This record gives sequence, structure tokens and C-alpha cells, in this order.
Amino acid sequence: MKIKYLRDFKVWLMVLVFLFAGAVSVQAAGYSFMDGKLSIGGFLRQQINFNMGHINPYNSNPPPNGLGLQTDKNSINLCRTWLILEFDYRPTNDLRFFAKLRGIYDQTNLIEDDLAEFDALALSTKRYGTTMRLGEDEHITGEVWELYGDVDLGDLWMRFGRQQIVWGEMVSARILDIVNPLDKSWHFVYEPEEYENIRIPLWMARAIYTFERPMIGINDLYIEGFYNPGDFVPTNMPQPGNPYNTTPSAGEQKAWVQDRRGDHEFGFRVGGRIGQVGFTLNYAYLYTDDGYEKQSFMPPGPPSGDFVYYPQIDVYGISLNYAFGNPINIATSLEVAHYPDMPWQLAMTGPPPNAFPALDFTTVKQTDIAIRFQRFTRVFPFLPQMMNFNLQYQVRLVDDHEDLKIVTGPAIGEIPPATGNRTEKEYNDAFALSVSQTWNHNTYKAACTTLWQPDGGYSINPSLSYSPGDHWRFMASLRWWGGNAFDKATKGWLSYFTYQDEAMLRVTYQF
Amino acid sequence: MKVLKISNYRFLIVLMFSFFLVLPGPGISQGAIPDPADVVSGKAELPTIEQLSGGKLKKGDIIDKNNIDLVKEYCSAGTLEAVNQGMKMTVGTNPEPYGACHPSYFEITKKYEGKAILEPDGSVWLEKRGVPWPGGIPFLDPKDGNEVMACVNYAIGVDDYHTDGTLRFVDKNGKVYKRIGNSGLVVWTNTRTNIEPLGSWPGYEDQMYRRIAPLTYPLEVRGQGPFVVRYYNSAEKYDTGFMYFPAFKRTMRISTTNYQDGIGGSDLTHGDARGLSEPFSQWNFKLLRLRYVLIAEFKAPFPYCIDSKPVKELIFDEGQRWPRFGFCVLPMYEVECTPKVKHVYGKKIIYVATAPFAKPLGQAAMMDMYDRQGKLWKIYAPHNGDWSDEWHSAQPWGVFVSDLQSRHTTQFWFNIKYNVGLKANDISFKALLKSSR
Repeated sequence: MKIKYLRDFKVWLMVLVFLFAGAVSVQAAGYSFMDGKLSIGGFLRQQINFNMGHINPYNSNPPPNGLGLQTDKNSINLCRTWLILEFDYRPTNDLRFFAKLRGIYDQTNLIEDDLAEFDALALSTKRYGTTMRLGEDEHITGEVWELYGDVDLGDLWMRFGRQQIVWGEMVSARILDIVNPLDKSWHFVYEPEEYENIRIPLWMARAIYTFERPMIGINDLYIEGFYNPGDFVPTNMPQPGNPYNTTPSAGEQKAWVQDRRGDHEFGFRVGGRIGQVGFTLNYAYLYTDDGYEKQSFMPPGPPSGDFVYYPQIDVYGISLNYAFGNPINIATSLEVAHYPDMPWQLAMTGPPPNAFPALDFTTVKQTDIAIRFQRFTRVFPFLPQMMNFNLQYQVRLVDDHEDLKIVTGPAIGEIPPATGNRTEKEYNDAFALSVSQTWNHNTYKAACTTLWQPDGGYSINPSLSYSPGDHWRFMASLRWWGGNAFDKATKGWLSYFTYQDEAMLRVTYQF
Repeated sequence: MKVLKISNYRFLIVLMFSFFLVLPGPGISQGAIPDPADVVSGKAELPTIEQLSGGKLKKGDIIDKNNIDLVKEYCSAGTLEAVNQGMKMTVGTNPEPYGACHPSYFEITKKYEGKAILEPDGSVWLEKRGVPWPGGIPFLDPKDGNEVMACVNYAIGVDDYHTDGTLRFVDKNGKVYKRIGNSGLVVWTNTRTNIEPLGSWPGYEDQMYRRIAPLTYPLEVRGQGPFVVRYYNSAEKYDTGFMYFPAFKRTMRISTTNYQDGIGGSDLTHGDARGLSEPFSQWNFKLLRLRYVLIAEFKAPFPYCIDSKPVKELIFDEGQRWPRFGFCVLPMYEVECTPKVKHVYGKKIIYVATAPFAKPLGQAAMMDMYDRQGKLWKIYAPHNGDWSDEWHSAQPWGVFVSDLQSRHTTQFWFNIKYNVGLKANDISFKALLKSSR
């Protein structure tokens, strides 16, 4: 650890803020003003993630398979302080204004000697400025994360502003949760709250119309729609040198990046219940959050140009849910998302004597399906609280997967590069089991989420939380990966990520 | 010798007679206390605690473990144990018969008197199956536990309500160590007697009520809460339940065994609300008897709860564990409820109000809960005392549930508004989103 870090005044400022927050007696409900119309709450959090795995090969391997930036294994993957403030103003029953502000101080490569310098608060697109983030410091920033107003006109409810829209019910999977992109840059997708802290809010309008009475046999019938007038933000990926980096590319300037800012996105769904079966029918007109690269063959030399596209996609979805009564007592949900033209990145090889592959992409039919079973069960008879079980199966079906080729080996003389399938088989499936138990009036909570891919990959994520009163929250968790699917060489399988085993400690003071 | 023995016997008889006169006993002789059934039928006046104690307890006196014997036959087992653990009661004021609900409630009760039918599955209908009960008390003189509990289910005297409250967790030392904010919106779509549409809400005839109850603080759980639809006949259609989880920003379908889980980890389970909020089709009911029971008085001398918090003028005993309320005595049906399914409770003894002393919300006024080994576990009692001038109705400031084994207590303090004019579709997925973060 870098000793000079302790001489940084910002370190001591954070320590003092923590001590002050602990000493000050505040109401559990936060602060309330204007006759209760305005409430302010928030939390101060420090989290630190320890690397229990190996050095990230994308950072350590020499080019072209890595960046050659790191020589020794780092002990710390992430060290970050958060100050979150939430302002909730409700002047009337029908109006609401909400703002969530985030102050972030990232100390990861201030305290970790073995990490190369990287931008912990990188803006991977120059368009990120509309998300109201202050400045371009690599370690500290403030931002307006969410900012919206709600109008309730009885049967019609609307929300305008910077918001997250979450469809679907699945655990650790985004089947119908497709509206907002993700910020994977600082802790990938490993946060305990799954996507809530990393789902990038967008400037959108959202409306839900609830029918006053059942219609055509459908109860609780509603129509929901959203419109994004052009606030397109792609997935924010970790920067080179970041412990969660997933590419050997140093992020050279692309020849051209498709500018989707200003291109609108929209979607709608119809939902309700027929008897005891709940359902939604979904459609979304979107652009891919991830970019797809295309190069031009320039025989006999290497390809030229590196163009990044964000193709337009149509998403058709359906969800169903049902709860079995006694004695089964299981709730079940099914979600399906179908993409008629889902882009997949390829590396095409040209005709001989062209030995240099070129990046390209094509579109295929892709269908994501997940089914979840949930049950509350008393496992420990001496505990009044019940254990919550969620068992989920998810599968991705990719038509014409044989056509999705990548380069797996170099050209040898006139023999073109060896190629394999971008996706090893037609489907990629996994089971997820999530179990949680609280005790002592929810003062303690133990949880574990296990992902298992039958092809031979797994991830286990146990955690323990301690919530002694109104304010302090303590959490410790582990995450480790394993398996031998495809010799740990394929990113689509969990076995690939064994180098990212980690342990996390997190302390939160909420008010 | 013979003469002496006779004299001794007479002396002993006189001595024994004097003994009974002098020593404190259980009160005036049983002949002077009217039968609870006569009070219910209007043939007799409701006795006061003073009368039941033979004049030894007067209004304003404190009842504690030193003098509980004076009224112990009028206390539930849970109340006795609570007093033994430090709870104190003040002798308060009995309510007037037919005074705790809006007059329209009793008018409709009278209008449909004798016309309720109770099906074997526990559903109540007006004269024939398929015609929903329009409202009011279906059985004025219930014959068995099923009819008593049918009144709990179908004799609600409000059409909707809104609560804003706080769950206070009190440890065994009497210290409040945690709070959870909770709000509730419930609308009845049947048995409506106050606001149009009366009777059944068109389009929702198959439902009984719709409820959302999001938590309001701490911040991490703000917005977390259920959206539940209870059907008119729970034996035919099981509850539909969804839960919003702010940590994931998702609304998820949930299994309904969560009725057995504590709200936010509290001693109060989701199924304890109003005595028994679980589908009645999963319980057996046995009427044990009609008896006098001490219960918190309907009108408190001053507001005990403002802004969802107990006022500082309210006295607590054993630290913050037991709020000290005024108590009255009411004739109540004592019903033994045993679950048909595997359950956290072995049984509940629920005390249900009789018709003259019905309140619009919470006919099931008090409750003792037993664990699966048959041991007394918890007591559930209302924070009575609030009054709605607008609806001429008694209303509570919440309830408390105390675990008599671990001595942990949950107090749920709320301010409630009856009949705010909710529409059936105001309770919806949108309503969960609206209150969420």
C-alpha cells in the first residue's frame, strides 16, 4: 500500500466525515423539511475489494494478448468512497421531484502499488457529459445520477427525467431489463445490488396508464411506454489497467464511431393478469449498448480502419408469472426476449493469400429465456424468519451459431488463421440459486448466490450482513469462479473469470 | 365434652363466615355481574372494571402484577403474562354500545339482519351464493367460530384507509434500537358502506381488498413493499402477491407463505394484521366462549400518537416496552384458531368484538399467539384511543406485538385516515412505483 496516500488530506477528510456521521445523532428517517414535503436522506459508504485470484491477463500479458501494463498481482481491486444524497420533494400527492446525487472518491490506484495508472472515472464516450458529471478528475467527482419528476393524473402516471426503467424479475440476469446501459467500469457487474448502482439512468419520458376496470377478462390491465429522445449512452467498460479490464486493446482512437446521440429509442409493454397468471408483452426499439467493430480487408496487408457501430435492434418480449398455493407455495416467473437481428462480433478471414483477419459483425436470431421459482421456507425451526429461495434457469439460444466465426490462431504461411465459433454451441445455459436468511429481527443476514453452467463453469457469492440499528450497515462477501468449461478459454463461460476471485468489505452509514 | 364440641363447631362456622367476609375476594358475587350474552343482546348494561373488581379498582387506578388478581379472570393469558413482565394498565372508560362505527354501518347491519349465509368454505353471501355480502355485520349472534370469524372478514366498516406509521423495535431491556417506516393503502372492493360505489366495486366483484404497504425508511428499504389482492372467496382463489425490491428496482411475483414472515424482521408478521390477514380457508376456528375481556379503551384522554410517533406524555413501563393505556372491559368472543397448513404458529386465540362494540377496522381486537409446541409466545394488542369525527368511528394508533418468550417487542405506531376515496385501480403496480426510489 502506498504510504504517501495516508498523507493525502482527502484521506483524512473522509475519515473525519465518517467519524462525524457516526457521532451526529440523526433521525432514522433522514431529514424532513417544509412540513414533511421534502425529505433528504442518503448514505456514506466505503467499500474495498481484495483480489483473491490472479493478475488480470489483459493487463499483464504482453501485446497483442494483453497490455503489458502490470507485472505483479495487485492486492486491491477496488477501494472507493461514496456519498449518496437523495432529495425527495412531494409538494402535493400528485407531484413528486426526485434527485439522487453521487459523490465518488476512488482510491484504488492511490493505495495499490501494483496497478498501473488508469482512469477510475473514465468517460468512455465524449457524450457522457450530459449525464451531469463534474469535471474530469481521475479519482474524485460528483454527479447527478437520477433526476426526475412524477405526475400522477389518476389513471395516468408519468415520469420525466433522468431515470432507470427496469422490466423483468430475474435474478442476476437481464432478460427484459434492457432499457438502460450499464456502467461496468468500476466493479463490472459484481455489486451486491446487482445493477441498481451501475444501471446508467437516461433522460426519458415514461408513462403508465392503468385501466380503471378489468377489460376483456384482464385484471390490473395497464399500458406502459417510454421514449428516449436521443440520450444514447453505450456500455461504460473498464479502462486499460483497471483490474476488471476485459480487453487487450489499449483503446486506441477508433477510425470512426457511430454517433447515436440524438437517435431516439422507445418501447412499450402491455401488462395485467388473466386469473392468477400475470403477464407482460414487451417491445423495444433500441440501439445496442455495446459497440461492434468493422474493418476493411486490405490484401495483402492488415485490415484498415476500425469502425464502431451501434446497430439498431428490435426486441420482442413476454413475461408470465404465477403463484401456486398450498402446499406448493411457489411463485414462478418466465421471461423471453427475442432479437430477430442481434449483432454478433466476428473476425472474418479473407481469401488466400490474405492472412490477416478483419473484424466484422453479422446479425442472427437470438432468444434469451429465463424461468425462476421462488419460495419462502422455514428451514431452521428455531428462527421465526423464513429463508428465501430463488432458483432460476436461463438460456441463450443463438440460431446459425456455426456462422459466427472468430480467429483462434495465427496464419501459417499461406494457411489462413484458424477459426472457431464465436459461440461454442447453439445455447449457453446456466442455473442460478439464490438463498438468503435473516435472523435476530433482520439484524443479521446471510446470503449466497451460486451460478452454475452445466458445461463446467460456476461462480459462488456468499455474503454476511450486519445491521445493528437504524444507521450502520456492514457487509462482507466473497466471489469466486471456477470450472473448466472449454479449457477456461471462452468468455461466455464463468470458468474464464477465475482470475477475478475477490473478497469485499463494505461499511455504510445511512441517514 | 359433647357440649363443648358443639360450641367449638359453631365458633368455627362463625369464624369461617367472618373469614370470607373480611378477606379480599374476587369481587361481588357472580349473581350481580350480568351475563355477557345479556349485555350483547341489550338486556343488561356493560359492567365496569370497578364493578367487576367489587369496587376495589376505580377509574384511573393502575393495574399491575400486584393487583392483577382482582381482574385476572377477565384477562387473556397473554395479558396476564404481559402484566407479569411489567405491563401496567389504567382503569379507563367503557365505550357506549353502537357508538364506535358510523351509524350507516349499523343501519345496513339491521337492514340485512338474518340474511347472511355462510358456506362451508367460509365465504359469506347475501341470501344465496354468488350475491356478495353488501356490508355490515353478517352474524349478530354467531353460533360457532366460523360465524365469528366470518364477521372479522366480512364486517369491515371502512371502505379504504391510508396509514403512515413507524415500527419500533424494542429490545428486552426496553430500549428502542431500530425503526422502520411503513405506509399502507388498502381499498375494499366489497362490503362497502360509506363511499360510492356501495356494496361491490363494478369489475372487482371477485376481490375483497387490494393493498400496498411500502416501507418508507430506512433509505435502503424505501419503497420495498407488497401489492396484494385478496379475493372475496379465498378458498376458491388464493391471494395474488407481488413485492417491489428497491435494491434491484424490480417488482417480483412472490409466494404467499410470506404471511408467516415478520414485517421488516419485526414480531408482527404479515399475517397478524387485524388479527388474521391470511386466507381464512387455511385455518380452523372454534368458538370457546363469550366472555368479558379487558382491552384498551376506545377513546383516549389525549392523543397518544402524532406524526406516527408516540407522544412524550404517554407513559411507558419497563423502559419503552409497554405503553400504558387506559383499559375497559368488553364482552368478546374467544376463538381458538389453528392453522391447517404448516405454520410458525401452533394456534392463535383471537378475541373478537361483539356487534354492539364493533369497531370499523379490527373486529379481531386482541390476540394471544402460541408456538408450535403449544407454549404462549406473543401477545397482540391494539393502540386504541383515536377517534374520527368525520366518520364517527373509533380508530387505532396501531398495534403492539410482544414476544413473551424473548421479551422483544414491536410497536407499530401509525396515524390512520379512513375513507380517503381511493379507487380500486389506485392500488396497482403503478402505486408501488410511485412510492419507490
